[in-house]
Amino acid sequence: MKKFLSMMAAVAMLFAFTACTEEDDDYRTYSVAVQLLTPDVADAPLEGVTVTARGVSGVALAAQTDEAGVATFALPEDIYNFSASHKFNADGVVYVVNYVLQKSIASADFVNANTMSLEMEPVVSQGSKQVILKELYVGGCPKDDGSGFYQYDKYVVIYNNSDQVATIPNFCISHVGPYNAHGNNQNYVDGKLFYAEEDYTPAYSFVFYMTKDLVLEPYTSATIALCGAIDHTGTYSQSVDLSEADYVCYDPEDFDNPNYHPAPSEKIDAENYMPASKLGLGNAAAWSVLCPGIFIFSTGDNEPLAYTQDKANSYYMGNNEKPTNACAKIPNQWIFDAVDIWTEENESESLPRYSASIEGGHVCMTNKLGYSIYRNVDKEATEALPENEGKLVYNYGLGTTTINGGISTDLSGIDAEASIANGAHIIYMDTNNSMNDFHQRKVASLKR
Amino acid sequence: MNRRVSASISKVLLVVGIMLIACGECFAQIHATLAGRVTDSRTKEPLPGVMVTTDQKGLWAISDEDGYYTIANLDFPTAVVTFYLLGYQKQSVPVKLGEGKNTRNVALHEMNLSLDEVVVTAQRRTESLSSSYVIDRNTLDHAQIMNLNYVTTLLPGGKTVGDQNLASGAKPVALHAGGASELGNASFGTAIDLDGQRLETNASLGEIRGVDLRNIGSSNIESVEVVAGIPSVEYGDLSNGMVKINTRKGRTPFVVELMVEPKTKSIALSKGFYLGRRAGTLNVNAEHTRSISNLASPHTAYMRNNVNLTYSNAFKDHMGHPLSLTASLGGNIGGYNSEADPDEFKDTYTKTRDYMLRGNVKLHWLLDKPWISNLTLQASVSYSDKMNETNSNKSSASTQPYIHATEAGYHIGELYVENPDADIILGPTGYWYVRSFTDSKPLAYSVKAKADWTRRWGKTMNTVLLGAELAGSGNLGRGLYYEDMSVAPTWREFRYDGLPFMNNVALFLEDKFSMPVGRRSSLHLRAGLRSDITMIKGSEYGTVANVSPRINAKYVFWENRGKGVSDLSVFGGWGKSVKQPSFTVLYPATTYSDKLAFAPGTTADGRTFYAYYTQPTTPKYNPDLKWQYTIQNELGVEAKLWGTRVSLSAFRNKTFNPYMSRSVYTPYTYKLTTQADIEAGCTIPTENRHYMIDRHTGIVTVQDRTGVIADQVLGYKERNTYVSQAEYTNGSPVERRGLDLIVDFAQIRPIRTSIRLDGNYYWYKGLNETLVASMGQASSSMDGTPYKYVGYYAGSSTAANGSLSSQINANLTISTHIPKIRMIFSLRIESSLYTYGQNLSEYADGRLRGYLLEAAGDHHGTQQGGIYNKDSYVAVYPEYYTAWGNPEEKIPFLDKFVWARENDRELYQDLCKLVVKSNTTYFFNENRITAYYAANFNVTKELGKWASVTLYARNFFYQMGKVKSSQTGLESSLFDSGYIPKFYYGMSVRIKL
Repeated sequence: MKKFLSMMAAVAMLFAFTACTEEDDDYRTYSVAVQLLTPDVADAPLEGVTVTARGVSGVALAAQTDEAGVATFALPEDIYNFSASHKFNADGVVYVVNYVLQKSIASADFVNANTMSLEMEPVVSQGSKQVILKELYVGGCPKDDGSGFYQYDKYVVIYNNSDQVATIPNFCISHVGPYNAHGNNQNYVDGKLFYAEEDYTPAYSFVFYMTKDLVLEPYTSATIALCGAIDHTGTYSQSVDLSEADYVCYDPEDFDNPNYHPAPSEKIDAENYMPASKLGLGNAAAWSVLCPGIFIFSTGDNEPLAYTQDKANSYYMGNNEKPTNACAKIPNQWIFDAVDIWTEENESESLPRYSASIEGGHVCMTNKLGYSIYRNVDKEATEALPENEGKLVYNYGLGTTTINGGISTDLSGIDAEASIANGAHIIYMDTNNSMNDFHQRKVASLKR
Repeated sequence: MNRRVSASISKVLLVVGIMLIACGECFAQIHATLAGRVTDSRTKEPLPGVMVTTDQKGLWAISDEDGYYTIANLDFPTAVVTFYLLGYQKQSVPVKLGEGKNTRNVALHEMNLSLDEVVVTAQRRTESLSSSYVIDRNTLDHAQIMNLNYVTTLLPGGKTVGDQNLASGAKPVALHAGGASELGNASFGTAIDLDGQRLETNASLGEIRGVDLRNIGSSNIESVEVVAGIPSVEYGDLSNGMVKINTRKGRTPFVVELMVEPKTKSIALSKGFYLGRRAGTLNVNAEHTRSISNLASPHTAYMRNNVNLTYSNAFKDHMGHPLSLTASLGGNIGGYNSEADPDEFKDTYTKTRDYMLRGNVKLHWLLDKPWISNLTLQASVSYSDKMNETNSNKSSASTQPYIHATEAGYHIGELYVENPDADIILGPTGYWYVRSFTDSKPLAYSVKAKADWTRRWGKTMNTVLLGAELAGSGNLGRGLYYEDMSVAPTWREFRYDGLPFMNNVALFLEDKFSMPVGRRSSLHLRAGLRSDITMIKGSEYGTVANVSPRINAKYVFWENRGKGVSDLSVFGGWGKSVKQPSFTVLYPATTYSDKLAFAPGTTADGRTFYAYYTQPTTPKYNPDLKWQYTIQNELGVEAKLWGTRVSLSAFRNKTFNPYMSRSVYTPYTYKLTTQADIEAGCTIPTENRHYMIDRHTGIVTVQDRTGVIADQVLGYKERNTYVSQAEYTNGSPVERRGLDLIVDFAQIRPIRTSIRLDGNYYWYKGLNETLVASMGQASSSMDGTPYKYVGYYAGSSTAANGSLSSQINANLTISTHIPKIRMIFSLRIESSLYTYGQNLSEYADGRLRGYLLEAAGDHHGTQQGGIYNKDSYVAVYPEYYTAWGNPEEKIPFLDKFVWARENDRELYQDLCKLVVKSNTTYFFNENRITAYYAANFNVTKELGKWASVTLYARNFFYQMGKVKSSQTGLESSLFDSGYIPKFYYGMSVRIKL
């Protein structure tokens, strides 16, 4: 047996140098064919779907699928996150199909074959929601005195991604645990997210809710200050002015840390304060500054405080009933949008915090530098809107270089904020897969 | 109880008296004088300052400048005379005395590795009547002890600490105790005695814990005695044994000592100066030690700069009786400092002083009167400066409320420039630094007088010891304060120097008696009574009295029989020891509940005029507080079997009334005015508003700065909540049992190798039933108002109210000592054979306190079949609960909870928040850790008579094994774990000049 293995190893070494596509001596690439599997629902078209391959060292490539649903890449050695999303209609229902796969490409895999064949399983979810997360600014920015970074200036922007007015009762915002995607995740049992097959997502530690209906006109946004609804720029020149935020998460009876939760700007009406349903502990509602998993939802006709405080709806991470693990179960059908943010440094140790039908991927963020996570523009749909004629601004240049040298940007090339300022209506990508839907923006949109 | 004990002791003393009289008739007395000269065995030079003691009447002498000594009035024809001088091997010589003058010259051997009898392990003090171990200088050098907090790791079954760095914080000694999670304050109850001077932490504020020994240089220590058993009644203010540290006293060469470990470096200089005829000796020791906790951050360090001066001399009174005087002055300048650390942001740092100054004078006078033998007077004082200083950089985009209000009521924030004395200062925006100081300066003093009266009738000897001690402690520190009040965060002054001193007067009487029984056997008894009267002037505690009786006995079946079982003795004892409370227990600080009462919107320039309601508490003195005490029992046997010395002792210590803190909740109401109230009730333009809040009613009024619009009163809502404060009280008893074993096998002469097997068995059970209050994890009730209920739990507001643990440790030490090449090598294999732990949730009578749940989300379970080892979650309910509106009404929890489930859903949901559950299904499983071990080696080599070198390596073969926990079923690696010492190494060099 040993002899056999030795021979195999020798042969493998021999083939390792012959199976690769020798483009040049320092940059060898390998042929990888990615097959998208057909989802169970109806006959989903698989041709022309863009599949992206993003290597952890920064390489990012895209390829279109052929008739058989196969996208072919020539990739150098690396660990890749393959992802693809596409929408289709069937029987009057809009479906979103997401594909996500992580795979290491190494020369040793090409000993016996010139091409590696991969299959990607589909995850199907029903159509996009009316209100989505457009931008998340949660990572803080450098302080002016060089003593570190400032993080009490977090905000998100929600957006009506449709041509209909959105009127939503009991609108809520929360996050999933653990705080950080690479933290010890007690929700995994035997390597599996144990609510992956359940119909709920746990809202962790606190839920902020609106006390009146959220009303958003078509293609308009609203800013929610997660903390610090004041103008931060007087002290922190690289921060943002949240004194005119539309809403603010503020409940000083539950979270009375005035550093994290200063009294909101007098420009913000009290009716736009979002009180908290406090599930955990602490005097501040702390959102992760590294990699939060933020989601928005509505409790419908249920009063948010009563619903989330009801023990019948409670859940504790890892079934460990200590206050720091407290969550409330939020039915998945209540969720409008969810983003799983990871850090690039810890991408390999991070675990998804949503079931695949809620969030099929993740987006990486570098914190402390004033970056935000911004939604990509659905180029085709946006350009298709007749009212956008001549209003779209192109040559978007606010994407960032990742720490591994890759590029995180909106491949549509449309500068959404500039276009909106120009009077355009933007339709953002909404595939329930943050890998496709978001990029890291060099400057938060509220930064003037 | 005390009356019964006193009666028992009286009976024992009566019996002893009768025996004394009986024995006194049996032996004829002589009138002898013993004189002689003590010299160095190698140089033949006379040795001054040798302490010569006898086993007769407490007689003793000190050799003069020419090495001569004289002891008069010896009255028994045989005596054992012991000669001791620093740096020399102690020698005990049996002497036959005749009538008149007798001569005995003695040559002492300088202590070094060329002697046969060198040991490098803790030795049991065989002459002691209780469990007591001595760690001598050779052992300290060989183990390279740099941090005295770890000296007890050398005791039977002890586990070596790899990295002894001083910068990782204090780890006070706790005798016969397990980890810090145990109940009963074991380290606080372990007394530390330095040359007869008590070191204590009674006047420290903060944690209740024992003395931090990092500021005592290890280079100046001659020996350490660990009294794990029942100490003499001479020693009080303890409940968990004591550690006696003896410094160098006497003439010594100039010694330079260098010690190096990766994180700690030390240099020490010592010399015992002979000051000339009749001028005595002066020991001078200086040590500099620098220690870091993180090799990657070497600029943040703990420094120890010790200087110790000890003067000792002997005089003779007009009767020719010796009188020894020892006076010492020692101190330390050092502490923790991160100021030079480039990793810290500019000008930010933490500095914690560890300054200490202590003085001690001791006079020991042989009176040799018919009514008194010796008189000892001792006075000591110690003063510490533990100032902590931090400089931190701050910044803010909005004004932050810094609350300094000390009176109940509503207070509104003001700018410092407008009112520096405002109850609430609105902090700055932008960037600034805050420098804070926590000033703690404990001062302790003690004056002690004791007299002994020793008489001997033949082989029967009796010593009566009578003494008194006045000791006290206080703190001269200012507590926490800030350099610049304009940026001082929320803070209230709590001055330590305003707290009354705690003084204690003690009287003690002890009788020590020994008599022969038959031809070979002898009986030794020690019985004593100590009375402590603790006085706290100006405090509600007033005066507290305690009585501590203690008795030890030892029966020697035979000694030096010469074959087989050559020595055999048994010993046992019973005693009570009382530990005074610390200032943390006695003087809890006033606590303040500050609730946001009003917060108008932040203006464009970042200003917010926060208003808070402050509810102060009255410090909670507990009139029922009792002093913590321990009842100790011990039993042991010592034997020498075919050259192998065996010592086995068992102990059972039960600590009663351990100090503990618990929360007390007091309900109150405040008014809350919100932004919504402003918007609803205020039409004055924002820029013209001036907010006022009534200090007593909390009503907010808005004034128009322009005067155009009349004052407008805002609405509010009332909030009912609680203020919590700490109260110190007494917990339930804690019990510890154990066995200590030492087996010193006879040396294998051909290879000069000794084998020691030492180990211990330790058992602990702590189960607390003292009611503690908790509001659980709740912050709000189901109706959105602040949470209304307080639960009262037996022992703890967590799933477990105690734990049970036991362990068996065994160490094998193989020492090879080759006197010819002056080298000693030791290999120590430390094993933990059995480690057991179990969380408990039960009452003292065995009834279960927890309920087994079927699923994690359940709130109702069963007690059928128990809760232990069930792999299930466990819920614990409060015994009763109270509601905000009627805190006096104690509502039985479980009954109401069951009722509410069916009848009052909102109440049920709220009460669910008082149910505490185990974190895991395995929480109440037994936890047995599989056996593990590690090996260390130490080697000491003398290079001629002028230098010696020690090298050591802990866990030198890098134990990479795994252990398995039965509680979780998981294996974990020993590498870099807390089970065994991390791989570590060090070296020390001692040069004698």
